[in-house]
Amino acid sequence: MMRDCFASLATTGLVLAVAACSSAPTKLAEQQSTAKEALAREVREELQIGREMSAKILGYYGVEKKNPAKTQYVQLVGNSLAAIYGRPELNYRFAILNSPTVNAYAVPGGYIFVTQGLLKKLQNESELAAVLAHEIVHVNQRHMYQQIRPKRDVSASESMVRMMSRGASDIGNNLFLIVQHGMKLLLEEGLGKEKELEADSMGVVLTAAAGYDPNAYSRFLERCEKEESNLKVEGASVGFKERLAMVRKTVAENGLTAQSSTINTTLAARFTAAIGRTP
Amino acid sequence: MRRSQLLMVVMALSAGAALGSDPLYVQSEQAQLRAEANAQAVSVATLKRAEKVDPVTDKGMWVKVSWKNKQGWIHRLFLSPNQPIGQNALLEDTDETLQKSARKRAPAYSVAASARGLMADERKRVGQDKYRADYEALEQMENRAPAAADMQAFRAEAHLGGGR
Repeated sequence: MMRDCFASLATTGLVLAVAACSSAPTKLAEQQSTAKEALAREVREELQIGREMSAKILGYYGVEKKNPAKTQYVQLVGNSLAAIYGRPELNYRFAILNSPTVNAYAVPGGYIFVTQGLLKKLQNESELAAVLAHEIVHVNQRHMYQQIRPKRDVSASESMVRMMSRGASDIGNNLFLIVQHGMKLLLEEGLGKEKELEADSMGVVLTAAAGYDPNAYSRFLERCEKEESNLKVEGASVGFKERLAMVRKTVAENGLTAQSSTINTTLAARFTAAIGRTP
Repeated sequence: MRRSQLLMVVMALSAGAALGSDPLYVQSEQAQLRAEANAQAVSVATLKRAEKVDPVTDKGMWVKVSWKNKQGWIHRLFLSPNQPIGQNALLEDTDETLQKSARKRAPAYSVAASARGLMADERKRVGQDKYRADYEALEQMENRAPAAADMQAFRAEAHLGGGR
């Protein structure tokens, strides 16, 4: 009897162990599926916010329409970077804003803007790539989305409103306020020193990884530093001196080097052709 | 310690804190697995997007990983804790046009504002917006992506690509 009990327990244990083994992959698959769904939901929110913000930025500044080749060139440079370090779930879009200020913007979902004023300040394709890389990092690190995204902990009444209105998204009916917050950060307050320096640092690594000159961004920032009093640049809360120090440190620590001069000739030629100036 | 130095330390620490035992995925088109934590170090292997790697340790912005019986360093820029998802996962919500979503918007705000018990002045603010939206320009921006062949030629002309 006792032996039968042990035998029975052993059999039960074996069955449980086998059950546990077979359920482990299922549980892992379920966890992966849940994580994927959560990520997809967040990306949809990013796109929803990004599209609204982009429409407002385009309406506020106006978009370059006279020279489609110029816009096409910015898109090609931007997408060359995004092809290497783009989030696969996003399409990256680039546009030129009709503003004389020296500035660039990125909003959630992969919408990136550069001003006419900024393009006038750039001297070659590597500098343009460095500026766009900085903005791509903001998108990929979700710098703005993390600051303005809807809170996950909501009251029961708010959950009910969301359920009745939109359902799937946590944004629900708060889109207007979220977008307003985002516009304020983008055009008035900035994302803060830590995020700007991170975008500078990672942007330089991306620039080099794409095959551009990693020192191009330093040269651009040096010129900005000299003209600081006349410029209004994104991340103005961070001094150019500090940004330069971070960029130079990144280049040195990561062993980033420039491409051959032959390639630089190609880059210079097509920058001149598209932007219309000799560097 | 100067503020900038302190910030760099904080950034490095916060980056390091994100490294756990969970697997990481190659986020970029491709990434070089290098023998040392430096872009000039010898490449041990070239990993493609979505490859799974296991983190071992980290050093600054570089992560030492193990992958198929090999170990090496990849820059943190090219790794993500999220398994890359394709655009298909998003398709279910993208059939809604901008105009349709804009039509939904106005009445929805007032419902939300009253349900959340917003004060009168907040309700007034919700009804105002100093930035005029241009959805036509947005649609043009979304529909004017460069053709794949143009992209390929543009990158090939200057030998762009690779990943560090």
